[in-house]
Amino acid sequence: MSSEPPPFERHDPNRYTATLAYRPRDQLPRDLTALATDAVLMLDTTVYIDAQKAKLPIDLAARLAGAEILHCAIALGEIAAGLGLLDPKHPGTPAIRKVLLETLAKADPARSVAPSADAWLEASTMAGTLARTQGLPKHDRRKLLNDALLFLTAGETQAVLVSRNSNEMDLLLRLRPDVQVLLYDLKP
Amino acid sequence: MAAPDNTKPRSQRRGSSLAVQALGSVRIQHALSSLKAKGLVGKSGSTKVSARLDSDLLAAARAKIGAKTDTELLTAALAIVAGDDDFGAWLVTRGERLPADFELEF
Repeated sequence: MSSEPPPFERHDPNRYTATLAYRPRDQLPRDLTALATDAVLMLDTTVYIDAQKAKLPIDLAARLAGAEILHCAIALGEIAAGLGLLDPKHPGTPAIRKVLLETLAKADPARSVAPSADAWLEASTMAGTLARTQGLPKHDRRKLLNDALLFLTAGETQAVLVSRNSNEMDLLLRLRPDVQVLLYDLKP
Repeated sequence: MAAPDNTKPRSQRRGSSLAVQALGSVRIQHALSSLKAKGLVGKSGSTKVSARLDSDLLAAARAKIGAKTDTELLTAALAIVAGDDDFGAWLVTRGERLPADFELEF
């Protein structure tokens, strides 16, 4: 019998009673050169969007070009939600819709993964705890849950999650420092 | 019936029995899995291939991926040629397809 606690008890919410301060940038995982050469990368939604604004840092873009990429259903789902959210009457919608459709069509289903039931329970506990400590308004809580799901899916697949969501990843890494994350900033 | 394990790429799920799985290369496994999912492998049996190759190249390639046999090595090499994913290269060469102020609001 496993001594591992159930996913909803891996983190004790009672341990977290104060707001967590965000850490300085140099204490967060931003060093692209520290990645293993054969690391599998999982993309946060920001990467799909920033790349198609030509806003990814050049060194990260070069790394992505040669990397094995895993897609998470959470990120692909956020892109799919964008399809529904676009205003059909807006003149810019057809061009953006085309980009989002091309992106989803290009993502190989054989390289796409979803969070497990365990991950959902753990991510929900983490997101609930952090939403309370950070005093997040209701509309930001679902975003944090999605970030936690992506984060734990990367952990489950031993991929490195590439993200621009520095604050959210900082918080999630406090609870699960074993998950691999690579943070980036937009190209100036 | 057990629920499918969607947390793993198909290459790491049960039922993917190609011998090259033993090589442990995620890239090769994903390539084979993708080809299998698209119905591009495993339909027509196997074919014996004979080729004259540089011995040192064979040895270097074997050492790099840990292949024990020529069959494992050639399967891995062909999987990469036929089933490697170019998503990363595709994504970063798209250019400015989206407006600078576009954000996914979800």
